[in-house]
Amino acid sequence: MVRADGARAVAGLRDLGARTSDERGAQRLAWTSTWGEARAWLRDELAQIEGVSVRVDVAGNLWAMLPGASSRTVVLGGHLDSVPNGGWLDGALNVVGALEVLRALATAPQPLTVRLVDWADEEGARFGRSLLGSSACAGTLDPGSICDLTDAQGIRLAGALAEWGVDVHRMPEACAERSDVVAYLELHIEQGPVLERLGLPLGVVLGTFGVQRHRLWFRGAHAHAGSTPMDLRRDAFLAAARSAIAFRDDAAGRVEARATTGIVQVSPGIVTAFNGACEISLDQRALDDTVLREMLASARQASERISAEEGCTVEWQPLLETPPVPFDAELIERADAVVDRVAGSSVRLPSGALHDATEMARVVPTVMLFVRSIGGISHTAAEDTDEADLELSVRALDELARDTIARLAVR
Amino acid sequence: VPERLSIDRERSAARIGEGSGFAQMLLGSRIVAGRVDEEDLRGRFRAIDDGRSFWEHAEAAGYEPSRWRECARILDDLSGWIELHIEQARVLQDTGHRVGVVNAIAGYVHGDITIDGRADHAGATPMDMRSDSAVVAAETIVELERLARSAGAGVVGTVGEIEAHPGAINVIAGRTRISLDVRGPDDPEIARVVGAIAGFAERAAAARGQAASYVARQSLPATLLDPAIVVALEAAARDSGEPYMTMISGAAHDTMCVAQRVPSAMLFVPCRDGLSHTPAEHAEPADGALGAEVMFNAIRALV
Repeated sequence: MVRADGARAVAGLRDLGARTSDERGAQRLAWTSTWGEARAWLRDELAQIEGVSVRVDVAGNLWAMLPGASSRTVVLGGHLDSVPNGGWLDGALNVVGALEVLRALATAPQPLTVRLVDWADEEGARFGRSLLGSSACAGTLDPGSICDLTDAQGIRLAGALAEWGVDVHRMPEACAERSDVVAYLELHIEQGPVLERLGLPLGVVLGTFGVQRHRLWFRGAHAHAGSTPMDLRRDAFLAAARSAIAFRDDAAGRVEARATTGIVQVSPGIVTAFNGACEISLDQRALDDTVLREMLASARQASERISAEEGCTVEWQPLLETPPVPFDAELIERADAVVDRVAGSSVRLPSGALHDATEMARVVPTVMLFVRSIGGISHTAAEDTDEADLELSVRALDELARDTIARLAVR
Repeated sequence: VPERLSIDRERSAARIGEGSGFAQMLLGSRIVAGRVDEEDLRGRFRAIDDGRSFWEHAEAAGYEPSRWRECARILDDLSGWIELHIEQARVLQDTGHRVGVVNAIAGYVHGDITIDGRADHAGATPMDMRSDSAVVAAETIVELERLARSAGAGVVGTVGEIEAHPGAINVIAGRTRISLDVRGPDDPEIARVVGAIAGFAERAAAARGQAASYVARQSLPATLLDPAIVVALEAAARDSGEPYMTMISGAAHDTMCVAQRVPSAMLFVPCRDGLSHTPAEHAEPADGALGAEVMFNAIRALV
């Protein structure tokens, strides 16, 4: 049996990076000529694999198909597009790893059809809408909500996509691409610190976090820092600080949950007055929707209790609400066994970031593999992973694909 | 002792009490008290709006800044100084007093604490793998409130400024700076609180694998006011039959500078809801008149 060649995948990633990066990093911004060059490189590679056909769907996603005995299909996905000044692995590892798996699978007849997909515009870096191609395929894209988006130069999304032959209003027709799909597999760099801290090269992703994002306004009354005794103050900043600690402590006491206050602004914001108004952000994440709702309720309660204690009021403004998307339980089990075998030890972890797999998980059984990121760094030119880990991750994807095909072929 | 004591004279407004134009508090009275040097006026003190020096602005306005040392003479003939001021806080209003006799003006220490953690992704970084500088800043703010409440009488502590970087909703704050303003009537107690909060921040940062550092800005020692004038003001207030109290001033006033040369005291009258530095600032004319009367009678008793 021919196995996917991890070393060839690394060489391919280096070649792709050299063609589509400058000294500041990868420049494969979706719907630009550099992105087009990346896809041309992929088409050249796919053309070398006998029996594989390539086409682009109505949403701009590039599909390569290796027909099997059955039309039931296992999909391996990724995205060649990058953020500006991005890294060489984010999204590209998924595609190039899948390319080598496809190359290996093509050397023998397969019971199921295997397709590789290069999703269009995962990053959303140009128009601000991420997971564009995969959400079209999953049926969650509303064309009306995106046509009028513009880039930094004022160019409309609809116009830019038309140049690539994509009619925004027809993008939802990409749903047809998933009619025979029975499993979706995606390999990705972790983009976080967990695997590195655990000393493990590979992990299995449990799903992507649900997110609750809010803006909180604490209001008291500002006054002179010198002349106002401590017990007569209505310090909005103090109420916000105590609340932010409560949010953090709540998340720290739970399993696989996050709470972050990244923005804080005070008014009047001078050294000689305490603050009458304070605005903070809250970003809460959890893998379980019930837990996420509990966290939100607990945060609201804490902020109201603390505000009352400090003589202040608090007002909540929701900014973003996305439910958790758990991956397929059976695929998680199988992936765990594969990683155990390939890497000697496995771990299951949630994904903090959204991925195309998040969209696919809504409609087909899905799982992701993570490979460790050096320093947890991503979306910059410093993004990196040891070559040995990359080769191991391609081997794990290869084994997971074979395991999935074999298992589903007998159903 | 001057022959005639006029209220206007004793209330002579110092040129810059608020410190907004040049970011220097009490500038006029500091010049009079000799608490500046010529380099400050020629170069260091610059207008916030156009960056020109105090010296240039004074000349443009028709003054002779080169004669600044002569200002000190205006204090030469004074045997006493009383400043009548609105309280700028709610202590008198909340306690139902119409007059406050000020026996000390709080000193202050201004500084900054900067906390260095690590800016990581809010989703990808588990709670126990974070170096969140904003959390240490929040803990420090809460601790300063506790320290000030448990410190000696009249001590207050404030964090008025905060900058969290990079300041994005989905990124853990890698670096956070907070300002400190600690005041009180007792300098060693202020120093103790500042030392305690700086030490707390360092320990709280270290406990989360971070580093915190304290850098001092401006400070001014507390000013104890003249006991004889304070006693005279208390007697005059008692004689007025109106409710009064003896208190410290938490805010800095020009009297802090004048008191270096002349026996001094202050008198407060209430202002509505403690509001000051806003157009809503208001004091009852009757309270102002009562303050003037108490001051006048105290001066009569002293001379």
